[in-house]
Amino acid sequence: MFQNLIPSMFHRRLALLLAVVGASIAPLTIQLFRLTEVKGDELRKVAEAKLTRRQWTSTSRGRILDRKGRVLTQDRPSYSLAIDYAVLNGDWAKKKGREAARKAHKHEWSDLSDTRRAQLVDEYVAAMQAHLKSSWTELSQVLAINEKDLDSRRDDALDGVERSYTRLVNLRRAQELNAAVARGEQPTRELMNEIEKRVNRPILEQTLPLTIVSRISDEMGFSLQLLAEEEIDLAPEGRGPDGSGAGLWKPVRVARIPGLRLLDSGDREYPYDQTMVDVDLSTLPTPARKDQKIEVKVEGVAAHILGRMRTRPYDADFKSRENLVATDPAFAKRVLSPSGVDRGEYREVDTVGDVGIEASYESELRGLRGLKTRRLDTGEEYTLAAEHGRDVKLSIDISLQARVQAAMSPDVGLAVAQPWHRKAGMPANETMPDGTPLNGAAVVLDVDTGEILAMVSTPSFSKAQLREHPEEIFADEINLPYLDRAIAKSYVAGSIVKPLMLTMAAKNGVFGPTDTIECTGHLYPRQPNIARCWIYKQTEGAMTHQSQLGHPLSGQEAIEVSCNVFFFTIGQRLGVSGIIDTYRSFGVTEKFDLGVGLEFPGALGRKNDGSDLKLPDAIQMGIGQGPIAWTPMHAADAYATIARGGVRLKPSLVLSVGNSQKSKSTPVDLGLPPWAVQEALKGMERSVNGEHGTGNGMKVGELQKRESFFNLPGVTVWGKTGTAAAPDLKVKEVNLDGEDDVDSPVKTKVVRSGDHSWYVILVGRNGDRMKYVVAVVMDYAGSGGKVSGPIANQIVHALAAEGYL
Amino acid sequence: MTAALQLSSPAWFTVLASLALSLIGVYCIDVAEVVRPFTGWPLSPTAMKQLIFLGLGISTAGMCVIPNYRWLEYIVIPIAVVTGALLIFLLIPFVPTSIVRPRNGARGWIDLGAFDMQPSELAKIAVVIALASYLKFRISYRSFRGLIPPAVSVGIPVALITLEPDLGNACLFVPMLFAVMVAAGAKLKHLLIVVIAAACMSPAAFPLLKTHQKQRIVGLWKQFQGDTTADQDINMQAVTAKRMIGAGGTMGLPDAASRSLLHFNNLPERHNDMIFAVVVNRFGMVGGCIVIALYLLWTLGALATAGSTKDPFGRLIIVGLAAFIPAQVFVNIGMNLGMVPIIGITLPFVSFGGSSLVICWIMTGLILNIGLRRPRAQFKQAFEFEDHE
Repeated sequence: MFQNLIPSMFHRRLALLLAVVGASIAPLTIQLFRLTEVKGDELRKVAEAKLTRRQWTSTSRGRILDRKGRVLTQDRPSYSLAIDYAVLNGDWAKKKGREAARKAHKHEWSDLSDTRRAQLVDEYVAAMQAHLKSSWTELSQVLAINEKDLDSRRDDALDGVERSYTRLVNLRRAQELNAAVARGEQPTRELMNEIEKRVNRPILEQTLPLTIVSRISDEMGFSLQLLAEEEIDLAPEGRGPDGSGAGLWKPVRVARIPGLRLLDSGDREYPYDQTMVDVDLSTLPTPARKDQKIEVKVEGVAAHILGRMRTRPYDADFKSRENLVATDPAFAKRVLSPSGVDRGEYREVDTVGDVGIEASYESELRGLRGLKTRRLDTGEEYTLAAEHGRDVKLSIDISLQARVQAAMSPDVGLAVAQPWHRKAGMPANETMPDGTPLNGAAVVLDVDTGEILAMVSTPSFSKAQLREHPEEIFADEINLPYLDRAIAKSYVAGSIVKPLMLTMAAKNGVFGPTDTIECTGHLYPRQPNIARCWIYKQTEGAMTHQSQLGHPLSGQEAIEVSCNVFFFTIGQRLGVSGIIDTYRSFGVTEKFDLGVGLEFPGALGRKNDGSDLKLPDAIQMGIGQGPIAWTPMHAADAYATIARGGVRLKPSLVLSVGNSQKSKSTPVDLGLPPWAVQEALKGMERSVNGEHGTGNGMKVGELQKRESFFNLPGVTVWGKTGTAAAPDLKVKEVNLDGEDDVDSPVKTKVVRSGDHSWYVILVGRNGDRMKYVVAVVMDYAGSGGKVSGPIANQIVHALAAEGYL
Repeated sequence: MTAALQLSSPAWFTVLASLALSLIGVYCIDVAEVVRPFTGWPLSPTAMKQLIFLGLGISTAGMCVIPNYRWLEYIVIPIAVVTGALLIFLLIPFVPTSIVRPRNGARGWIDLGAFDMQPSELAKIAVVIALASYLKFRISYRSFRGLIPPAVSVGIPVALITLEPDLGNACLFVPMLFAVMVAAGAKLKHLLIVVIAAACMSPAAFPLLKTHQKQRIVGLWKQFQGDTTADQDINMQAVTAKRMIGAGGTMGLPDAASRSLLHFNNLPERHNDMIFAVVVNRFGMVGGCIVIALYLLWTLGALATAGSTKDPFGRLIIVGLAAFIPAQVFVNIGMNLGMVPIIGITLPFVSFGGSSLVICWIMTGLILNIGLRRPRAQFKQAFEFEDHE
């Protein structure tokens, strides 16, 4: 048929050739259609992205301020030494070598064979690599850092970027896959190839300089800046990279230290971390009193509250941030750039809040990077300004905090085991000979607002100590410096709960306004050896509070003398449920969520919820012993509640974040009878000032004259002591090498024993209502009054010195 | 030897297509070279050069139209000898680089001072003329053995060009030879056997390729697989070209936008081998299709001219010359679209380059010459065979 249509063979062959041409063109047109019509939009986006250059600008972290606006921590401008990623991973030498070879031989380059070109490039690359090596050595000498150490820092930085790349590629892949699945696409090989193509692009860190050395001094920074600007001729005319090949080489101008960058970087500074505090020794108890003032260096002021930073984000940080952006629309709106990039997203080289407020307010403190966008074709520039992190204002007064910590410093002499801490003739605690520093905690609350003015845990530690001797902080099993005792350590409550018991007994109708209870020395008439009053025990049965006062005890008298039998009886009357209710009402088993890290919520019973309590437990818990534990913060909170007439307001630490005031917790009225509250307060006042008060002072001198714990004129103190039986502190036996001593028959040894010393006070100006709560506990320190009382007194002085009283 | 000119000829389509393509080329070279918006005049230096080459090409084509093409039969041997000598001259090792200046590692150009001459371009015309002269009255190539002489006659210059090395241009002689043999009436089954045998043996040639040639083939394979690992390396040129083509969309980008995009995406060789990407970026898929259609028009015009003449010599010259252009177009556009390895082949009439443009116009001029001189005398029916013959 074809022959009939075109009779001439030649013409048929021409038609065949034309058909072949047409058939060859067809796949080209199909591919042209595919690229322009099917993939056109995607390719255009990629192409147009090349017209835009984006540059992130640095930001700084928000400050943490105290209640008076003093800066507790802030970013301080400093320098970091960084080296271009391409220099560190070796790409620079290859690229620069290629460029240099081509430039040096530009006139004959096109005439050279591939082999000759490759040979020249290899020579120049080798020269660049040799230059890198020598410049690295020079840098180590300038910085006075061992070259191996510098190598190690470089490897760490590269590893960090590699990890970041892997994580980001995995994340991109997961996002792409999820999006594909959401579109109903099957994960075919072609799709996977497409996805791989998109996800394997370089990440930002691979285009940036990597920090190798931080916290460079201004002087060193200046020297390095000069060095960074210096250029040298790599090889003199006529010498090859290896000293041979005369005439082959042409000098190549390169940086003396390739890729060296001096970056402005924010170093986090804590201005009050080490503070000098004046302490007037003339206000101390007579045995420790001196008519002089001393300057005490306080290390790590508010360290437990502020927390600290670490230098690399963990996976959890990345996930947490992503989760926050995904789940909090308001936060996402604040942090996302117009193109949807989290301006505060973590990079491997970032610092992150590790613990304390630095960690819990990380998302607020963290600044948002700025973005400079420049259109290369039009030259237009758009700038999205960097936003500094939000300031977090705390309720603490840093000067007061420092003064409280100074009062608890062994240097002052109160927080050290002293002979005058115990009764005359009593031997010293075997585990804590005289002179042993005492650890403890103190909390100062504002009664009206529930704001925490000071929260001290000793021993503390400064940032310098943490940097230089971390093992002394984290491996000290006895003193546990890293533990915030004010909120995270479990303490048996002891007698300081007695005012609480009285008020709740009144509320529950088991003790009336005119009721009294007889102190017979022991609760059970036929069992004088159990459930005894402390006075009965101390005088070996010679005295009871009834015999001391001459009549059964009212509520306020019971608090004044801290009568155990009275409060055993209250515990008995309240019963298990009443006791549980009492402690729960005052916050035991509740955390405060202060945002400074680990908190101990308090414990009721051995199962922590009170379900295993029996009546004997309730009786013991009536005096704060038995299966009840809380923290100094709970104690301060409970006393503030009584001071408010039974209205509970959760203690708070953060006043504001940025411009937003932090909302207070809702006040809860416990419904305590006013007469009971007054009775409790009267009892506390008598405890401090009354003739028989357990907190009224200590006997000093040969005449054993009583001296009040509190000696600040013009203030009234209400208070209650507590001497709480504490379980022994045991640590593992270690051998001479510091390892677990497996040969030891006991495996552990007791390193601390005795009672915890409590003193909780309310204080206000004379004639005024009570304004502040001060709760002090000293670990294994013995007598509540003698150890914690003078410290509480110093805190009252500190409040006055800071203008609160 | 004189014959009356027949002005109505399908060869004018080749002229028309050549002119349109050349003008598109000049504008697109300007787009590729300069970021500022098009102001008409002056053009960029490179586009100006191309315009001058265009004038030279048209003039040369005009001169090629004037003498009767059949004079070529008398000078075919001198042409072949001179061309062969030039190709050999390129390969003589001790010829100074001031005369034979290698480019990209290939000794393909002779420096004539004012301009460089590329003998392999000249060889295209010379080989076609020699082949046409050899085959015009023969029938020996109807046998399998008879295919050997024409293959050898083409193989010698191809070997010399390959040794330069200029594999891209050398490869273009193969489709030319096949086209001429098909048109001359060689048995298709013989040609098919050759094609199949060559296809089967081609993997064996892979180890003989140079490293960069192997890398390009591997790179192309990676593109097919969607493997992006070579996108910043050996595939960078192809990937960027595809991106520029895709960015053009249906109708292309405005002048200024296209210039910016091409510049800041840094498409290599955009005024030269990658000019098709520039065309599509500026004029979109429609523009790309128009350019392809112009090449089809050129080919159709040429083949129609061959079909309209009865002179076997003229017929084979046209078919031979016409085979080069679509082959070159296929390879070049295939390179731009990521379907063919990048082997340094220009887009005829459009890419920057004096030798290439002038030779393309000489081809057009020769085709027009033949088209205008269709002999009135009845030739023996050339290349007409029965299948059993």
